[in-house]
Amino acid sequence: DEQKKDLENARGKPQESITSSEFDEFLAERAAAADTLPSISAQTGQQPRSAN
Amino acid sequence: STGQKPNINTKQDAVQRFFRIPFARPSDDFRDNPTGKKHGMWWAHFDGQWIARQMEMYPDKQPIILVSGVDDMQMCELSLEETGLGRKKGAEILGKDFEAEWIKNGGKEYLKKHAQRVSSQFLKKRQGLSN
Repeated sequence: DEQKKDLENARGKPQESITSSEFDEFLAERAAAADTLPSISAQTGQQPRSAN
Repeated sequence: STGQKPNINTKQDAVQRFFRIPFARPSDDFRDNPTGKKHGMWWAHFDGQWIARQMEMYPDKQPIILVSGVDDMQMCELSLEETGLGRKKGAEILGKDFEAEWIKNGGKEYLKKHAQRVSSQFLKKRQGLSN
């Protein structure tokens, strides 16, 4: 476990990130897939609203 | 003991656990974006050790809702134990918070539409479809 933590720190990940590397890989794949989704503004023709 | 056993979700009384964690595209950089406005949120409902429902949300993108048995190719195939989510601080959320978001994104209608294909025993039971 110590080795794993060291490895994660070396990769620059936050220390609380203790999910498995396989899971992190899966999440990265899913996040990349989001790029292919149409944006809401593209679908509705509306400008994104600012939170401010 | 943590009480965790390598259960599979064929058990009707399996423990239901819910998680929410931020996730980012490789092009996004968490560390340069402390406000978290750019990254998305990944939501999961585990029926025992296996995922039953998954939601993915990105700002300015249509939310994605997925159900096991219907959308398996896009869902987490690791067991809860294998993901490490149960040990991640702040990742676990209340079921009611997951349900509220699920309903908000049309999950109820989606489950109804695909009721016959849902593989989670918990969801089948809740839909009144268990044997």
